[in-house]
Amino acid sequence: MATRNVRARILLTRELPSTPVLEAVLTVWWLGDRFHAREESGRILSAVAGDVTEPRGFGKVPRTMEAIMDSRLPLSGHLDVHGELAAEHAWVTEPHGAQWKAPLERVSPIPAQLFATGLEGLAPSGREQFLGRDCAEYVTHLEGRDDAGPFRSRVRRLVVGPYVLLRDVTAEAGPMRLRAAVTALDEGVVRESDLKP
Amino acid sequence: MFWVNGQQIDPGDDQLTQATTPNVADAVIRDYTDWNEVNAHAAGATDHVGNLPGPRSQGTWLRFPAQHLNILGEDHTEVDLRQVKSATGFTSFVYERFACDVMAPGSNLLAAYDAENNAEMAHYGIAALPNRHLFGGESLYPKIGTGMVLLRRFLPHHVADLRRVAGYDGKPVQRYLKIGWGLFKDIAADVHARVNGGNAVTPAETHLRQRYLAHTANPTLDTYITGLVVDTWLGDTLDTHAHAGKVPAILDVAAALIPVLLERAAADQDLGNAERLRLAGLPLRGDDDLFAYFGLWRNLHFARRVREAAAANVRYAGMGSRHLTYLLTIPHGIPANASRFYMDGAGLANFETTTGDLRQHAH
Repeated sequence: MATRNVRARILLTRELPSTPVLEAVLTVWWLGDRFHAREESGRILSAVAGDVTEPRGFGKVPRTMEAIMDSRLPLSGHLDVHGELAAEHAWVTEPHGAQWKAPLERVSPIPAQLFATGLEGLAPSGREQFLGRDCAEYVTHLEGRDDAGPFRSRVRRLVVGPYVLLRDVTAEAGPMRLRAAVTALDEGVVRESDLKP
Repeated sequence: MFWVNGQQIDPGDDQLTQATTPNVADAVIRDYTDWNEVNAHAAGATDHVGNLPGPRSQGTWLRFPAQHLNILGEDHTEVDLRQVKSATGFTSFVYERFACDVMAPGSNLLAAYDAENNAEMAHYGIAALPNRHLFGGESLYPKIGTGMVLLRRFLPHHVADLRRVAGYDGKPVQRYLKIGWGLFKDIAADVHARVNGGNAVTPAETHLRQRYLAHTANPTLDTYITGLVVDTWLGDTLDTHAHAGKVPAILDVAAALIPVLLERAAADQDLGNAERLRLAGLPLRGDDDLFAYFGLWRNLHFARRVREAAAANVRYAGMGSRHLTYLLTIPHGIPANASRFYMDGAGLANFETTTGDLRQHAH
């Protein structure tokens, strides 16, 4: 990790039947165990982190008419998070300007989605070219129960080296889909200035 | 345990009372400014401080300004106004979930609205109040309009996506079908009365009345919609052989109701001329435009209700955090005497940090 130096641009696309398609660009800089991530959809931290942490795998999904309507409100600005894995807290600058200190575990899933975890012991289900690289394909599932009952989502990942270049989540029942695709991956280009708030 | 002006209070302190002594040695973090506040909180006489009940952020000590309006932006699935109410014990509020519209007693609309919201209103202690519209943070009508447009998105080809197994949409869409159906019947009756009284009605209202007569000649549709169980998923019944035949009628109802709602928005006397002009300037070329139209109509009511709440010395206004951001973007969206808190971001984080620091340094 001490030698980690990588910049990635990730295009997140989410399709839900009751809301407009969400397209969000996330840029991640890693230098050692320090990171900076910028998300440009105008969503706040909890929503952006939810893309990675929500149990179904589809981010914060509206559950009420109020939330469905909220999801159509225009947004602007970008979210920045800065931190390091050895610290307790990370720094957050919300799109509406608020700056605050958040527990690291609420922030770190955003930049950490670039790296493959939880695949130990799994055999690849195939191979595929992605972003000009020969990737191993892994398929796993998210299962659980929430207020809409039991769910099961299929998670397909394309992995090369330590990197997840594609995470494609689909509902096994229903039309929800989330796709996070790396569109640019550059190693050795991150400088100290990229990490400064 | 508790602190007063930054000092942790120990057992035996001579200012402790019978009411506050148990709070010295428990595990709950409380951070007071002075002894008056300690005693007032113990007596249940405050509405600005308290501990979150959880499960999210359980035990976090909240502190809001003790005077004037606090505007809280929330993620409805995390720390919401209901949890803040449990923490602080406030009774003065307006909330997004509740309608600010005065609905006629005995109307189908009010009956459907109450049936769908009774449980939530009971949690806030307002279910039995005749003036519960005063606790409303927004108008119901833009939400009905959005519900009608959403029906067209799912019906007739994607009814299965409204089943519970498919996700969350079937529940809110069903809720607003039921509320919209109540409004549909009320408007039809009102149009009938106005025609009989020799009063003018619009072509959209006339059309709605015609569709009402067509769909209530056979009571099956009314029986079906009014019989849908609260907080269940529309697709679980509509996507069955027994009820699939009702899809065209439901779409017809939605198509008839939308133009009447647009007329209501254009003539909305709760809004000012400038606000109505903003609505009039929006395009209406398709369903995406309708979503935007109803969304703006809704936001205009949010801004109005926050202004009214501040003027009336209401203590809390709860809404989705995107509405709070909207208020920040418009002139005077945040009244001068109001404070704002993102309860899904910096506001809650600050409370958590303060609570965590006190716990870390407690003896």
